[in-house]
Amino acid sequence: MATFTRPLTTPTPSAAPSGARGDAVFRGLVIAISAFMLIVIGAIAIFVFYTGWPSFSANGLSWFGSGDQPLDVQLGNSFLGDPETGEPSTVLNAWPAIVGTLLTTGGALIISFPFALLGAIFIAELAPKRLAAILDPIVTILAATPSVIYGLFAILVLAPRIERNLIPQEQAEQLSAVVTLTGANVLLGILVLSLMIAPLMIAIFADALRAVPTKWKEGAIALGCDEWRMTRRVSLRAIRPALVAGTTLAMGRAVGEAIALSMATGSIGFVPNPLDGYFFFLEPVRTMASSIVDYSEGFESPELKANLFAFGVILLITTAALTIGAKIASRSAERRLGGGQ
Amino acid sequence: MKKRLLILVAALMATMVVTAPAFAVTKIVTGGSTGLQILGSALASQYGKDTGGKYRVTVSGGGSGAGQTGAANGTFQIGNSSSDKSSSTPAGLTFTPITKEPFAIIVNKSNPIKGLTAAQVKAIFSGQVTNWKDVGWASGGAIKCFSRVATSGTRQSFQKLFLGSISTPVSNSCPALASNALDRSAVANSKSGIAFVTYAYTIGSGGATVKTLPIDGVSPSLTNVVANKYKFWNCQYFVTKGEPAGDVATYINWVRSAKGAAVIKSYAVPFTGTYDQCIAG
Repeated sequence: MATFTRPLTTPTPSAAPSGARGDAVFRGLVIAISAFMLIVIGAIAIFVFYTGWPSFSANGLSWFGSGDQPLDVQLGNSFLGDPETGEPSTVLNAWPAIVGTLLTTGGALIISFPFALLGAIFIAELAPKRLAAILDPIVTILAATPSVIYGLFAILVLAPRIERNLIPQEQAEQLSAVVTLTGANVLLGILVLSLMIAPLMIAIFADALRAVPTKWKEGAIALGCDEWRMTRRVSLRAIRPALVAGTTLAMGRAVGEAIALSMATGSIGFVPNPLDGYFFFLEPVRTMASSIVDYSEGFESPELKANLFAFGVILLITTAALTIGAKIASRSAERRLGGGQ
Repeated sequence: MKKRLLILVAALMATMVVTAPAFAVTKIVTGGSTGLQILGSALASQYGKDTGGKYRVTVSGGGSGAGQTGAANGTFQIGNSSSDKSSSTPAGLTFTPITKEPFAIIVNKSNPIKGLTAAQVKAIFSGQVTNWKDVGWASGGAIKCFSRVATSGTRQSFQKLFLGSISTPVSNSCPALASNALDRSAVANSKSGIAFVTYAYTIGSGGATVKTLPIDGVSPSLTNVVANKYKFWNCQYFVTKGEPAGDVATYINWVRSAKGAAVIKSYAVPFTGTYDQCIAG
């Protein structure tokens, strides 16, 4: 992998101790740093599990269920105390937050995947070199833009437009006793997540497309394929594992997104009702990650802290599984392409 | 390479030595309520100047709850709190009031209503009134109420002032946003929106994006609080473990003196009464 394209500068005699000793020192340093990182990550995981555990042990399997009380009331009671007993409550039925996370992440993947795939094909295969040279850094910048920027864009630019154009007055009035319909809702959450993860997917897909050996493509053309057929039958097949890897990485980012969704999804731990038809997407949710930021001011209550860290446990497990899955998938992609050269 | 690194390290160390104070500085560590952070920093900087740099007061955020816990466990010598004592307040803390902070009801600028009564505010935020036509705006449609998450000191104070008690919850149909600023921008962006914020969010260029409603005919303003006309205010406190003593007491006394009041006046109403007077309202 690591081949240098330009010669290394000759080291001046005074620069370092003898080469071998320098190497050993450097190696030791790198190993020490990696080991330190591993210990830090392990400590974080243990801490999160340890802090979140009381929430799971108090609620058992009903942690994953839908409770009698709205999510925000439950989180409030674990901070301020149950209005009846006055004692901080340990009850948490996290189903609304789980639904919120699944809906926004799933919706964003469904919307952004086709766009990302076509975008990547355009940048890697079809766009003139000069245009690709402009688009490439733009995609990278978009992929690295802090999520709070997307959140601000969502509530300041998109939310008022959704509210004005998509929410009829009568429907809002009918539902107003149950839930306030605003421009911030599931739909906005899906849109903002799509905007965030599409560039990430484009960058990964386009890189994979560029790595498809020219020989394979030329072979397909020589056999009489047109360019679209060549892309479809040769390139897309070759990068299938990269598609899986890019999508799982994007999913990891979407699942853990806190700030942008805290701003965009309407701030009520509500479970959208499929019977409301098209309004399903205009109802609010509160995801697991955004619950953590929204309620983080109340960490001095041990009950609320355990509940929020329990969300953290679920997110940690999910994102770790997705990252490992993505690693495995991309390894196999490299092996396949490597074998063909 | 190595030489350059050495020079860099030496330079860094030299700067640290040079910037270290020539005489001993007493540090007072404070923190907590984000609502008190701006005022706290202004007081800290003026106190530093007044004492000729002898004292350095640091101010960090974290929320009123963090201010109270911090004071209890010693993280903060003074914890900042915008909320009164509650069931989750640790024992043994002294709350010294320093200001009265007004709470305001804000609506969209296109909202034609001239004001609300306290009873109407209560009906709206407890979910009994959900349409603007019931409070004097015939074509207003559904009321979009915006609230704060349950951990918010602003929400607790609002519940105490308008809904009857600190533990009477705002209706769960109102989105519970994470900050005063988000509430304000939600109302600025929603024609039929309404929210409660602290006075600081109704002034300046940000405050101009929304309309502040008079309650029972009285506008929320510092002068109306001083004149005892606007009743909807809550105290902000410096919280200490036990009675304030030593350097901390000296600082708190300075804040409660005319010199401190001169700084406070631009942000809130200086208040030197007792905790019980704050609770009695």
